[in-house]
Amino acid sequence: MAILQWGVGLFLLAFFLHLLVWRIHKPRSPIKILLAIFLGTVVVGLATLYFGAGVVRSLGLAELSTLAAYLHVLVFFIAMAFSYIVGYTVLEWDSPTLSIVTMIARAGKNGLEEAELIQRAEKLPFLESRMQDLIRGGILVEREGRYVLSARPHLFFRSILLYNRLLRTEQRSG
Amino acid sequence: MLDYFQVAIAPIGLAINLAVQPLAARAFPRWGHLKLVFAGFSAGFLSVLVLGGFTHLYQEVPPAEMVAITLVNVITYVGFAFCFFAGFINPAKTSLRIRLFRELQQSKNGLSREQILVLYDHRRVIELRIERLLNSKQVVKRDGRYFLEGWFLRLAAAAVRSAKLVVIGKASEFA
Repeated sequence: MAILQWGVGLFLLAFFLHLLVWRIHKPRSPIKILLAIFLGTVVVGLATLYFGAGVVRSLGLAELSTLAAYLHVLVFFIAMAFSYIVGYTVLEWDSPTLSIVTMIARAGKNGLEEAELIQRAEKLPFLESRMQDLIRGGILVEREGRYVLSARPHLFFRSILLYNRLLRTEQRSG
Repeated sequence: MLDYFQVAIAPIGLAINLAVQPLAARAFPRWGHLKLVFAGFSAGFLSVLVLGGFTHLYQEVPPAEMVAITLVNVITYVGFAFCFFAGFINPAKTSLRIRLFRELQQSKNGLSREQILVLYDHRRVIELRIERLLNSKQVVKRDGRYFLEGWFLRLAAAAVRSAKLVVIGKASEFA
C-alpha cells in the first residue's frame, strides 16, 4: 500500500508544482522543464523518505521498508510522469482532428457544411507552429532559404520511423 | 528477491508488448494498425497479471497489499504502454513533425518553405483527418453536412479543452 500511496502522492506534488510554475511563467521549452520538475520531485521525494524514515514512522504514515519498494515507487512514478508529459503535448499543440471535432460539435444540431469545415480548418496554421517548434528544438535549421535537418543524430525521430517500419505500418502521416 | 521481480513486472510486460507487435505484423500481414497495437497491449497486460499472480503464490502478503501491488503494476504497465503508443507508434501515422522530418531526411539539399507547403498539402491533411473520422464512424455526413456521432469524441474534445484551460490557460494554441 505504501508504494501506491507514495507513488501517487509524489506524482500529485510534482503536478501541482508544475501548475504553480506555469501560473508564474510558462517556459519556452515546456517539455524540458516538465522533465526537470517531475524527475527532481521524485529524486528529492525518495531521498527525503529514505533519510526521514524516522519522521515518517512517527507521523504514522506508511513506510517504504526495502530498497525494492523505493525502486517500485520510482518505476511507478516514471510511468505516470511520462504518460502525463506525452499527454501534455496534446494540450500544448492543437490536434487537427480534435480541432475538426470541436468545430463540428460547436455547430450543434444543424451540423457543419463540408466547404465551411474545410475552409475553417485550413485557416489554422498547424504546419507553421510545428516548424517553429522543430526550429526551437534544434531539429530543423534554416540555411540560405532552405530548411535542413541539423547535424544531430535525431535518435528519437529515427527510432520512431524504424519501429514503424518493423510494424510495416509506415505510411504518409499528417 | 521477489520484491525486485515485482518491480520488473511492468517493464517486462512492456517488452512483451513491443515484441508481439512486429511479430504479429509478420504472422498476420492483413492485420491493421489498431489490431496490432491491441494484440501487443493485450499480451503485455496478460503477462503483467500472470507474473504478478505467480509472485503472489510465493509471497506471504495480506490481500489488501496484494491488490495494491497489482494495481501499481497495472497502472505502471498501462502508463508505459500509453507512452509507447502515443509517443512512438501513433506519431508515425499522424504527427506533422514526423512527416516533416521524413520529408527532410529524404531530400538531399533540404526544402524551401514553398516546397514544404506543396508536399504538406494542408487541405489534403484536413480531408484525411475527416476521412479517418468518417471511417471510424465518429462523424457522419448527411446531406453534405457533418455531425458528431455518439458521445465519446464530444467528451474527449470537451475534456481536452478543459484541461488546456487549466494547464495552459487558453483553449487553443492559436487563441
